[in-house]
Amino acid sequence: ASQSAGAKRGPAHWGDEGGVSSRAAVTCSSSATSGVVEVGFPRRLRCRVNGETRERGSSVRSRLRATLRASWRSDSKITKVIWLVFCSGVISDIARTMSWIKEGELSLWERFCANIIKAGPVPKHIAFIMDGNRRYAKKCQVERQEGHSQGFNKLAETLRWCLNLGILEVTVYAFSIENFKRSQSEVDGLLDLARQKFSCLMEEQAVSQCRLCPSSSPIREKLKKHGVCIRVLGDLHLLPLDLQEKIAQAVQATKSYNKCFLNVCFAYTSRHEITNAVREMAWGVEQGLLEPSDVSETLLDKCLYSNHSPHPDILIRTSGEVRLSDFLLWQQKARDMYAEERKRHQLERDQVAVTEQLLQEGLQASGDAQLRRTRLHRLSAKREERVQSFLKALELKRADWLALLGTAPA
Amino acid sequence: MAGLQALVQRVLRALVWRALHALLCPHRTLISAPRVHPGTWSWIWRLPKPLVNRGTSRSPSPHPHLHPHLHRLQHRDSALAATRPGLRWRADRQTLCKLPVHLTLLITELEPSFSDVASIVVWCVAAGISYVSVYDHQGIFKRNNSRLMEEILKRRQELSGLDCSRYSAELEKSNVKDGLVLNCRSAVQVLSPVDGKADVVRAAQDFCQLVAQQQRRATDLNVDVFDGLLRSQGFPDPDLVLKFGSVDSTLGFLPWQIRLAEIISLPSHLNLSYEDFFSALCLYAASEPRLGK
Repeated sequence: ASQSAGAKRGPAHWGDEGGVSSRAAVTCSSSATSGVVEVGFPRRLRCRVNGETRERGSSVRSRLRATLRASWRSDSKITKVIWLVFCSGVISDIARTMSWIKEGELSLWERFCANIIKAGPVPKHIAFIMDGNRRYAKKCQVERQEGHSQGFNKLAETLRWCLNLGILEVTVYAFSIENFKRSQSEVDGLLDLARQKFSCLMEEQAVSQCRLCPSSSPIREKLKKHGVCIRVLGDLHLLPLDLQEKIAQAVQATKSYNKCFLNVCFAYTSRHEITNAVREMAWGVEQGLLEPSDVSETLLDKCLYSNHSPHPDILIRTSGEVRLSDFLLWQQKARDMYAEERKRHQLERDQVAVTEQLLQEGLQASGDAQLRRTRLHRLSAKREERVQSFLKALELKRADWLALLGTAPA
Repeated sequence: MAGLQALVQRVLRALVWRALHALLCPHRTLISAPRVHPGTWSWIWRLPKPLVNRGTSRSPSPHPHLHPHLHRLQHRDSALAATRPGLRWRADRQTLCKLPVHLTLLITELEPSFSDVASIVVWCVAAGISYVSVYDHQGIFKRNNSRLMEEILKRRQELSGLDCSRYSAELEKSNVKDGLVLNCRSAVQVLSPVDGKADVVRAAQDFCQLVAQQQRRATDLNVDVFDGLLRSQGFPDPDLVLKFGSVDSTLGFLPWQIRLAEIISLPSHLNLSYEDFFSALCLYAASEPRLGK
């Protein structure tokens, strides 16, 4: 695990990707007539939003409303049109910031840097702990909910960077089981934010149905274009049923894509993940699919929620804390010095089992070496067969549960 | 033509990458240089392997995290430290508002020094930390457990000779496997990867055995029950992990138990100064675990 990167930057700079809004703002300020009010406003909106430059206590929506009102009051029709175009650009920028993957290409300099970085070794899987939303909100003197929303926007931008750098698997720690201890209003706010984002994902008709995302192409199409498979890891049964259904629908809709993978850890802690894996193995023993001696580290790996992903190469925690906080504890990468020893132990146990078997059949334990070898081989083949059938059954159980949830009436 | 253009661009990018790498990480470039074959052009594409598990100890420059505390502590009287460590430790301990109950020394360097580790263990005990563990992913300490314990006792006698009353050696054969109880206040244990994942797998096998014998059901298992099945030798979960070396990984250390541990990195355990060690404790004292809230 690495220490935090200590990122202290603000959220996405709105209006930077869309060429329309910045150009419209320039036109406004250069052709100043008596009708134009608040020429400085577009520039402030375009600025990087961080603790220093943002006006205290202001929210974008209230300023937008004030600007719209002011623009209608102005006499000039051209001014009205320009302001409308600018405002719609701003609205679409804000809407784009709500989406899962930020639209818009990188700037020339960013593309240049990305190409240089891609010439060297690039991690295949990065995990993020998105920490510090509430502290950020306090610093900017906005609501906590706004802090969480900004956090999501930053995540969307980060996903874009990862896609551009060729990092094809990203895991994010969105909501911990420990977070249920927070105040009810905060938990409800977080779950509402999740409902919003997962609903957005499923909208097919962008303009007519989704008021939140009037962008040119629905998010679902964007996910299809980039081939993003979304997986949600965690004890989902702890969430409200409607959210579970939305999550199941999103996962079902994207499960066939395989170009890149986004794992969202929701209602997740690593201890619960490990315990669940052991519980599944115990279920396998109960069902007669497994023997207790089949339990091994590799089998446990394959029973985790994150069994389809490789272990992360880098773990990034924002905001400066140096803890893992129950995230991907089992999935630490370390050179396995004991693999040989484990194989040796397994072989010894198998030898003992074969000896017992031979003695039970009334044969000489240390007799025919060929017979022993055959028996050993048969033992390990049977074990392999049991493990494969157990894993298939587990996969089926999970898929069935998701499918049932996903097709539940909304 | 387009193919040639793409090739030229690729070569240029790789060269720029190499130049930046040499500029920003000169020691890594030097280490990876012997792997390069300068005779052919293919060296551009032979990229240096990441420094996982190399455990190269760089010259002990203070870790950026420790800077503010380090400057503050440099004014202390080093003569006092050399002659009356007992007094100093007592004074230092009083300045810390929070002390970890269980501290772990995680050595990622390839060649650990037993005497340096023993000194750090003795400092931990003197600071009043009740449980101290030592871990390295190769199992060197575990295999040479008795040697480490001898070093610890030797260091302890050297340093506590000046302040016998408080730290009198009450050595007893403890029931701590691979460890010892230094006095009625502190216990030391040595860990290796077999105590981490392997112990979790063993606990899982035991539970599955109980299920097979129909003494338990699969649905009986939850986090607390499983926690109870793991062997802890009476040690609580680590609060603070001091990681030594340049490897940014916990290298398989007790995955189940470190969920809330603060992980503070120090460049090397070789010739670690007391000031750096104390700075790390100060950093821990300043941390605020929110526990999800």
